[in-house]
Amino acid sequence: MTGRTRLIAVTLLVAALAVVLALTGVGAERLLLLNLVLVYAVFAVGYDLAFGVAGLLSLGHAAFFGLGAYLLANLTLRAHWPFEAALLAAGIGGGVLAAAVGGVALRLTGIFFALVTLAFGQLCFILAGNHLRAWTGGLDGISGVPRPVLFGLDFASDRLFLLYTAVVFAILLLVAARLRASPFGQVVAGIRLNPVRIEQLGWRTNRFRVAIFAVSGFYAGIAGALQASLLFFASPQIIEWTTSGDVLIMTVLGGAGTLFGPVVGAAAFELLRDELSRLTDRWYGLLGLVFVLVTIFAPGGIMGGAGRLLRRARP
Amino acid sequence: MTADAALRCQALTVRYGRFTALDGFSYAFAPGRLYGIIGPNGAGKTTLMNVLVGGVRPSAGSVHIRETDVTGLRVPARARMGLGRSFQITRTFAGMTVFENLRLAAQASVFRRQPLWRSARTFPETAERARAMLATVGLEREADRPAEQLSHGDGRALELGLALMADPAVLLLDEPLAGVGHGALDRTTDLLARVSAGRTVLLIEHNMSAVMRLAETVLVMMDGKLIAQGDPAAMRRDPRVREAYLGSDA
Repeated sequence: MTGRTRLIAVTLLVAALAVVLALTGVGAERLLLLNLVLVYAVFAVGYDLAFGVAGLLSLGHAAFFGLGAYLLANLTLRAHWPFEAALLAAGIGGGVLAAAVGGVALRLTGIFFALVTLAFGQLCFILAGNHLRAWTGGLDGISGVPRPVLFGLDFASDRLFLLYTAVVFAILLLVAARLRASPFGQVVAGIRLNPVRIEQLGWRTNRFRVAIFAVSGFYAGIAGALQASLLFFASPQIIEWTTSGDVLIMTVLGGAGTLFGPVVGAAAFELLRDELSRLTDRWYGLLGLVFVLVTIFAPGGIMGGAGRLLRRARP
Repeated sequence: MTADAALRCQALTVRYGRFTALDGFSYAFAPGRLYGIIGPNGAGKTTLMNVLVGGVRPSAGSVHIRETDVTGLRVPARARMGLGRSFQITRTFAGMTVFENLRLAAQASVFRRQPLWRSARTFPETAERARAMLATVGLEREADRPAEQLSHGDGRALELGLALMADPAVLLLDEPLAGVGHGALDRTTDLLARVSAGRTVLLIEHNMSAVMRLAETVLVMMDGKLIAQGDPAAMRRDPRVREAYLGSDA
């Protein structure tokens, strides 16, 4: 089986699994969880394009995620745009904002770049909560964000919305896979591995960095919009730095730099959050402990660890 | 000679505070010749190379590729104008195989023609060029080996292959023999001789026998200045060179 066939097979399998789960007897609370897994999987797959492929540690992706949520809320509720047009605008908005931030912040590298993105994200959080009330609803947020209606089919229930998110997830996963394997993706990976050599080969590294950061922002915008629709709500809390931290943890937990690692990481993170929060209010601390253990014993994340075990098991 | 120069620098000066790393260096490098640049540590050889490729902005002076002033251009723009470079410290793409390294480098000249939606693996042109370069630098048997697992000598060969992939008219080689063992020395020197044909090559190298064998003109630097230049035999006999670099008993 070639890599391409395997990719399509696994993507269709994940999407089909979501469809089966949506149509069969999964409980209502699990449907919300599964929806969240797919929404954050979209976020993490996009985040990994910047982090895992290009080596850009962003702590401000929550801003692109939040912009997507607010764009969908405003464009559907106030401007009465069709859901799909607003969803696309949310992605484009995330991408444009990421390109603008990247255009400035990517003059820096490493921890300095991470700190600038963190500061930018927190600035957006404060703006959304206190200074842009007319557009964001202030700390109360915007409620009543709609679900899509497509070809007469209303995706109002969590069960049907799972189908919708599964399709969006499958499309964006395949796009990410294609992008990573493309000549553009190879140059971006080369920039992570050796930027000096890439420049010496005639490529301007900053252009590629800004471009991949914008694509990553597009994914964040789409994910933020889907989450607002899922929860019928957009609030400034999703722009706080912890959202950027969460997507970073998901990516590293699953396996940064791999296509499916962020998907696995998003699923593991959301499942753990769901299970641990039933046991204790201090679930975030326990989640942190799991994260530390995984990074110590499986530096390549769950995918890396699983791959090692498989190689050992082979005769 | 100046009008026909492949690469020309005029009064290049680089200062770091009160320290002058390059001090009014001027030279016109003729097309198709191999220049050996020698001098003791701290003579300014690598600084010169960094200024020529655009990695360091000179405090004064200018650089021309053919007749175009490129002083204000950065590394990628100069690379696209045919200026290639191999580094003193091997700079390959660790994490990719040797073949993938060369295929990525082969993309540079055809990148704009490669559609975004196709996998980089599906372009026969870049794959063929990468395979041809594997043969040129003698790494066919290492094609599938991760670059970081190569021996030092093979790593240097890959470094050279990456620099050659764009078929540069002017090639700057910064100590390509550094750390290469005695067993691989002749092979690598032969390789340098082969790939230098038809190009302007600036070779910085501490291995004097290799420089004397390969270079048609030797430039001697000291304290950021060009102190002598001529054919290798003349440079061997030049008392300034003997005193400054080779030692009085050389």
